[in-house]
Amino acid sequence: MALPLLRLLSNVPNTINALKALSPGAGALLFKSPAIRATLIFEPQCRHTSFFNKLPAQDLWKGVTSVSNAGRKRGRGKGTGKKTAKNLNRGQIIGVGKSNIMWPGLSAPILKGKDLVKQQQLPEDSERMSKLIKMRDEMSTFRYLKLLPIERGWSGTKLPGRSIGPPDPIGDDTFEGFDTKVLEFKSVFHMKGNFGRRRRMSCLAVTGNGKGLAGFALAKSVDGRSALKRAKNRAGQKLMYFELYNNHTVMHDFFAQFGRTKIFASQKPEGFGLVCHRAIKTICEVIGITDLYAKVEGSTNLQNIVKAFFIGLLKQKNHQQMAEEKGLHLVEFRRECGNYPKVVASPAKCRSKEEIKPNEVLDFSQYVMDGRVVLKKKTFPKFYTKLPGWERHLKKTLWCRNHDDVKMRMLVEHGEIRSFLTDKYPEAKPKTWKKIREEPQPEE
Amino acid sequence: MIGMRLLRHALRTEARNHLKVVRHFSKDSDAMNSGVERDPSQTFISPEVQSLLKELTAVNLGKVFEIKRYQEKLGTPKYKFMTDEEVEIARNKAVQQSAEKLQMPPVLLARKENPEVLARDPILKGYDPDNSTYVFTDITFGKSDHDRLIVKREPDGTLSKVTWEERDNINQVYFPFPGRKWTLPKMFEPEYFDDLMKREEYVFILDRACVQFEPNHPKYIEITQKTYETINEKKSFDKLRSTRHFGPLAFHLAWNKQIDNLVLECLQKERIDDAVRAIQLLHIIHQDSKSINVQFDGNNHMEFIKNYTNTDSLKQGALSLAIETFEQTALQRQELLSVHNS
Repeated sequence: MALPLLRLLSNVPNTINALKALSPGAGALLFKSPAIRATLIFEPQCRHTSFFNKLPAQDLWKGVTSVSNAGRKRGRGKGTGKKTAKNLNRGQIIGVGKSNIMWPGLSAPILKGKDLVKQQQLPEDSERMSKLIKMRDEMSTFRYLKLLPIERGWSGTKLPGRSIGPPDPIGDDTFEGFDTKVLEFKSVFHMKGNFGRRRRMSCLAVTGNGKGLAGFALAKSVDGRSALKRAKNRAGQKLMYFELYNNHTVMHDFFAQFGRTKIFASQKPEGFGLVCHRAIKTICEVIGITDLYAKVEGSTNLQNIVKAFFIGLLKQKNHQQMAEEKGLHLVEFRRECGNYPKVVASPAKCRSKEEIKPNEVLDFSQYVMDGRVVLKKKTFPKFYTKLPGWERHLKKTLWCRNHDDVKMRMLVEHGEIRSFLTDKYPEAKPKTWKKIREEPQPEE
Repeated sequence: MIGMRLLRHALRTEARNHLKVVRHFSKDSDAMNSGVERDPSQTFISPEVQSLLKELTAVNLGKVFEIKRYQEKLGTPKYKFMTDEEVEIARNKAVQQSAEKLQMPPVLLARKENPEVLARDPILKGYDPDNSTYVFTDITFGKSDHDRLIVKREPDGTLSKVTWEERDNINQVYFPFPGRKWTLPKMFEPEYFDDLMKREEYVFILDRACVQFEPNHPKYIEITQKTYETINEKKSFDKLRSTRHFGPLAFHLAWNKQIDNLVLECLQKERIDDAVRAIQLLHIIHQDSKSINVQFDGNNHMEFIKNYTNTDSLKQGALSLAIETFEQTALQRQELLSVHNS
């Protein structure tokens, strides 16, 4: 910014000198003429030395990039908003400058064969300045981390959802098989009497070995990295064991609450996936749960969601525990197994029908949800089924309702789609209906 | 699953057409001399054989109601708290349901194509310019696929009943059997069949064969016999236990006097009762076997098996070794138990 200004300032005296050179007597005339006096910048303050030349580069840069104490308190001057000093010496070599002069002994060899090389001016390089400016412009941009899609967290390059490795080993405990994921990473402030507003980084991390062991912890520190480390290690200290059903899902449906955050979790079969809040998803990944449906109701405060989910998991009951508590056999019925009654747990002593009270809750789903009944919302038909064009659409698509299956069968049996005409005329190959079909270009 | 109706009808029609065949199933040695194939169906159906086969399958209800791998969508299990009595009732109900799953496909002779000619009208020649055969089917509700009247009028004027192959196709048009394909599935071709045998997918192919073919279809008999032979070679009898296919497998082995591997496997797994039953099955089918002199009276397991080993078996060495090992382990176990109890 200073450079163009200097150039402008230097141009003005040059015009005056030029004018003086044209006519020696003109200088006095110029000054006496009021019109000219008005138009010319009256003796501009042209200094050939200033702080610019006197101070070293370091101090100059400090003046531009430094942040005030007040600003520092507000967290300015750290992270992405920080102004970095640029090393202007980069891209420049001693001996090479604006006027492209060859200096033997410095930028050129002294002897060329047997002849002495003379100091000479080479044609000016017009692009030199623009190249330097381009390089300096690029110096300021922050080099973004290249994250693989698999490493990405919940959003962009942000930390929540990303893995930060296993907790640090303590003596012989090496935390093998453990992985920690960040759930929350934010800057929090608190007021101190003497310092005023103080900033710290807060990190909520969950760690687990994918086989039922998991723990979560919150840690705060002035800088982010140490907060992550503290949270990771603290989570490693607070491990809990959860029993899983067939190593892929929770033992049974449950309801859990922490504060105003409510979670309704349901057991799901293999292949269902984790259909839940991203925080719950991350926790399930580290525990080893692969199939779950969880609905979060009420407040969606992340820390409360985590705590509620862990409470729910801890309150879960084993099959054997349930059988003992009830004093009845626990029998599993699966549609895929023809609803065969499989006794999964038996109590030490089974109660008889007479011993069971008439008002006792025997329904498994009620027992497991602690008397709560999950509201099943009415699914209304889609809006377009009520429109007049829907009936027309159904009639139009009726004729090709099994075409996909037929196509598949034909490809399996014949290797191509054919009709009765294809026997007679091999080029008559039927095609599935498409609204817009690209005509193949005729080959010439 | 055609059940007993087909079998009874088959026997009746066979009796009408091939009197000799029906009579030759046990004592007559004329069967061997006349060159006509011995019909296994009546032996298979007899109550003694059926009870033996049922006991040999060693039904384990858990395995009968196992999740089949080729299931499409899985659901969440449902749980119930039950008392002892309720569990018993549910289990009995499951046993009743398992009867359908364990119904054995009948072992029959391959059907022969010999359609009855009903009329010859050469005057009708040239009636149809395309020279096509007309097929007339009786699609009355209630008629069985086997019995219904299906006749064809050929271009030369002959009115005859359709062949078995054609009957299958026509029935598939009007009353499609779910899972049955028009063309022979690639699974039954030698290349893919061998691959399945290598992978030991016996139940898979036998189930598919039951769906695709009738039990008296020559291809069905070929496939099942090849499968049983492979199982016998590899001695993987356990794969078919608690399924509907174990009965026909055991029957086939006994019919061809190849029960040695089965007896050996039973001895190794300490299933002495099953070993005895296999030998008993052999005696019923082949009344002329040498080991029939010693009868099983309920207690002489080892004697009965030893007699068979020394007379009829072809793997005397291996069997006697297995018997010895079993007796030794039984003795050791008895000793340990007596020590423990005292």
